[in-house]
Amino acid sequence: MTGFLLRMLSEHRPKVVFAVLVILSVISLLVGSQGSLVQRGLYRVVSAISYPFLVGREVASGAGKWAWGLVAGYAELESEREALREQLTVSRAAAARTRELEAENRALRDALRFIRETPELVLEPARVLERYKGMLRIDRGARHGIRPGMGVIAPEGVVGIVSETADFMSTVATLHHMDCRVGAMVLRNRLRAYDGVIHPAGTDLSGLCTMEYIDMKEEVRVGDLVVTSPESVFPAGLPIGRISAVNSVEGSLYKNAEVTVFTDPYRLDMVFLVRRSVDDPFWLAGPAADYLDLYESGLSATGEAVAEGVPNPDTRPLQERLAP
Amino acid sequence: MIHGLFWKRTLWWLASTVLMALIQTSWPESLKLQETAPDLVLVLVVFYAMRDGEEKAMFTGLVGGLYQDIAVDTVLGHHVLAYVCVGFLAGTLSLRLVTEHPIVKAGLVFLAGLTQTALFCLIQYLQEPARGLLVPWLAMGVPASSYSALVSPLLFIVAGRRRDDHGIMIRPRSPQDAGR
Repeated sequence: MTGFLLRMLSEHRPKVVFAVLVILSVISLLVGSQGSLVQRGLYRVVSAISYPFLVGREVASGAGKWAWGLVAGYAELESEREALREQLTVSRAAAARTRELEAENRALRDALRFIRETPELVLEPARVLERYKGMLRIDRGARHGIRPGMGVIAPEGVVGIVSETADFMSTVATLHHMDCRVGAMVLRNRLRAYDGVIHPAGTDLSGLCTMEYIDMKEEVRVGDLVVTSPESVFPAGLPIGRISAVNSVEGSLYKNAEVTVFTDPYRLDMVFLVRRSVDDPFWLAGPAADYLDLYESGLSATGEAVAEGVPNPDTRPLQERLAP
Repeated sequence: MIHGLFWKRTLWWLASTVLMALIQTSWPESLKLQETAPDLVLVLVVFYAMRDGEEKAMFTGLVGGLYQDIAVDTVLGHHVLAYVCVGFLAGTLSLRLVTEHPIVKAGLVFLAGLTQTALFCLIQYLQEPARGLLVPWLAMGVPASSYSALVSPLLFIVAGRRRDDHGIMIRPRSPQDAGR
């Protein structure tokens, strides 16, 4: 009987296994074995089996996140670098703009100070539009009352003379251009050349002017200050330059002096047109000793030292000044 | 030699079953497509049913079902009963298959999935009638069975590429063979 039963079980083993598993499952479902001893034991087994896998999953997930972080972080850093580069470009442009504004502000302050310190002159500020071979093109023309022959100055000294005018622009022949002639004298001894003018030496880039026809007997020194003479179109006493060399030819009746002018037309952004000037009797009679000393010491008449320490030129009438 | 091979195959079977159950319970989100996840344990049950017979399939269902019952905290036997029944039916049906074309295997997986989800929903319905029977089956069973059928060829290829599987046929392919 037992042998028959075992043989039957062996022949129909799958069905028997199926029946046993189904019956056990149904019993478990009917009993409701949640929280039972069997389930707790199985839970422990399942936990023990799954623990290494869960740890592996966490490690793999962490590694994946780390690797992705490298890629994503790199991309983020790259985009940040691009943004910073763009910001740097903008900042550099802003800094350049600020430097330019500072320079312009400084130039405007200098111009304003120059206007305030020269009350005897009625000046018309003009912006330099173009510079070419010793000529300047400025943004003031005939419509603004500009006429050929008007003097053009800068805080550093004489710039040149208006040679042509259009409606809204004018051309200025500077002391670097051959067409320019300016009446000049040596400040120290009020010496004029026979023709009374200085003119450019001929090369635009040298920035040199020549004072010709100086009598051989006259004393002219290197370093003497040359200013505008009362006969010029400019008010007398405006600085032009400084004598850098004196040339004399053996047997000649005259000698000439090279004058290095103070103004460089290629560095000017703004110039002033002299609309009207009141000739100062001070210059007609000759400068006072203290003023002469000031120029000899190398300071400009329009510089800060003048504004702070030295009184303005004496504007009293000539008779009053020269009266005993 | 046969003894060692038996244990090796048994260990491989156990590890693969637990691994499938683990993947299914631990990474459900990564497997989901349009809120539907494939039933990897079911695919493995059908695979062993076709290769080794209904007994191996039933034990696969037992292990995988127990793991899932514990992991998702359902009443013990809920998943087991569904998988065991499917394993037995798939094993019995696979004896009558005249071809092993991948589409036929996928179709068998699809049918097994429908059966398993039907049983699962039926048990769930008996426990909690308020949940309904047909709607959960249609909403969960049909998409999950389709997805399982889609991934089954891939899993069959991966599971069938073990070296010691080649040239060893444990299970007789027909009742006549069993009698020899």
